[in-house]
Amino acid sequence: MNILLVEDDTGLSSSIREFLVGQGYVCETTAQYSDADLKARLYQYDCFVVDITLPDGNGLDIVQTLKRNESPAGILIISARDSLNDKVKGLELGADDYLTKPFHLAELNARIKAILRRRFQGGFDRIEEGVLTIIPDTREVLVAEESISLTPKEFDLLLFLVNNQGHVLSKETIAEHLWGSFMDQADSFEFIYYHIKNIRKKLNNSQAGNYIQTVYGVGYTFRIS
Amino acid sequence: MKLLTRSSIYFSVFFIIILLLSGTGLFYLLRTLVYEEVDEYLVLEKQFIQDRYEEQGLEFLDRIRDSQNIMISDVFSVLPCTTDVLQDTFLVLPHEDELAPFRQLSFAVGTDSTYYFITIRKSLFETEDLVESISIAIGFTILCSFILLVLLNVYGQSILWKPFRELLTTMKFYDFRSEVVFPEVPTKIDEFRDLNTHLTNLTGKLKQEYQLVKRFTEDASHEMQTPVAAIITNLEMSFQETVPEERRRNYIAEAYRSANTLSRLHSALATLTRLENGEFEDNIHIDIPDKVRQILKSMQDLIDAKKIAIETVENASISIWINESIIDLMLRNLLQNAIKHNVPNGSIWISFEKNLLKIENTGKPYTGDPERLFGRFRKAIDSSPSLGLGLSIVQQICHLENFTITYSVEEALHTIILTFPSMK
Repeated sequence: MNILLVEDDTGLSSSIREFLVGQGYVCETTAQYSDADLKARLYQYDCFVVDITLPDGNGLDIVQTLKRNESPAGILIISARDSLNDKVKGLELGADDYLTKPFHLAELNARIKAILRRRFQGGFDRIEEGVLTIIPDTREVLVAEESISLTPKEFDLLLFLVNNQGHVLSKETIAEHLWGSFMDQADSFEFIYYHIKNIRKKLNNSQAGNYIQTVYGVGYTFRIS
Repeated sequence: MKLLTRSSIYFSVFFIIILLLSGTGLFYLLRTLVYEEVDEYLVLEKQFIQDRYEEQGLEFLDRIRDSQNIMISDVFSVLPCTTDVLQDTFLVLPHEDELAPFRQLSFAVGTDSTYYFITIRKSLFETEDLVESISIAIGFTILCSFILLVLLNVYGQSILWKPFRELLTTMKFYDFRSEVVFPEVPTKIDEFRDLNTHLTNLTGKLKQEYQLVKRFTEDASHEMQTPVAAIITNLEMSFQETVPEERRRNYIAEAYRSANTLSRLHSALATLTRLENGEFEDNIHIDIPDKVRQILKSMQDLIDAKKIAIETVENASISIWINESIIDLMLRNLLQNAIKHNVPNGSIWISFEKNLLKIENTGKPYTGDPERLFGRFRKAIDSSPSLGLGLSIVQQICHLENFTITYSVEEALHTIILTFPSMK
């Protein structure tokens, strides 16, 4: 999967790029509007991750250009502007999603995956990891063709972990993903622990093995060992 | 309470008071006139009786004794009264069972211990009626005109104040955040037109301020959120188990850099706020050339690193009355810019004239409007790591201290001219 990242802050863009490459994407970056515009016209990308405020232009114009050219690529806007107006404008122009800075890389990854899944249905409607099969559309989890029942929050948590396979998710990241950024953090950490415990128990009961590993002091990671 | 209601109430109260006073006055005036008339008649009558009595004696008195309005009392041996007595009285009319007002004059005639006391009367009955009818007629006319006046007043006022009410309605529904200019309400009345103009100006300024503040918040949030995002993502990468130690250090260094940017941004914004709030006092006399030399000395490392040649010309001494940290902040910003945006092996020329400081430096050509760089978060090259707040701070200080500053670029030569107000 090809991703073009348009972001003018070099510190931010390099960490995002390395993360996405680590997730198995091919990722190109650019800090200039003109460069991004040119690349968008010349090459095919599966997904664009675009910052609105660029030194020599507006990221929304790239969205407009892509839509005018009927590009099949998914578009995710990342911006520091979090006013409702900007969000509505971005989504109206045809962006698939809008992520406000600052964000967690895992959140970015989950959003990109969701966009790609929506854009390119084939092969993406089932996620198969080890003996686990997850069907996001019907919110089902199967172990060896046998369904296990998870609560909605447990399902979201498992999907988030699977989507960010191999990447350590901090408790803050998980809390924000599941409960939004307004959740009091100290409280939500307890919740996360109980949810993880329940998921592990349910997976163990189905002989699925312990895929969720604890990273001491930081958080959790999903890994097929 | 509406202005119209209130003014109508005042109008009515004053009018009723005036009406009562003038009505009473009129009534008494008419009565006085009537009394004067009656009294004159009575005096004439008395004169007539006295004259006839002197001519005809007792015979005349006998003849008039039965007249209706004359009463002659018995003979007195002494003079019953020395002066004439004029008074009001009430008598029963012969054919009616009703007391009627009369005016009477009593006097004495006669000589040598034979005196007659005579009282002549004149009925006030008819004249009283007259006074009453006149008063009622006048009163009624005044009352009618009063009602008419009130109605006209109400009508006239409501027409006069119509544009004002329209203005109020317009104000109520006007939103200065919208793009729409405050609309004009058609009126020929100067005061309302003035009000309209002032409102338009005021809302115009509000609109401008609002746009500025909005732009500033958006810019500030962008400038802040981006380093925060960089910190979060870099730290997130740094605690991944698969990352080699060398990369991990890179991530942490990147996060550290962003944290520093954030910290610098915060202190610059705090300085701007403190300047705006006027938190710098304690002025002292500052010798500008001295201060410039002092700052240049502290920046010697930077100057040496870029191998910049500095030339100062002192044609006049400049001394100004200012807070030391403010002037330090301003000169430091200007000199730092001259060094930072200079080219290697470049030059800086500084000259001190009367009330004027000129800083020229070689640098990269800049095609945009140099004055734009005074704006907040404006940078010559947008991707540069500088905050874009230095010149806004300088401008804020100039604004505060009544300095004027101009910035011009000619080819690769950047010139800043700072003019101080002349000292008294």
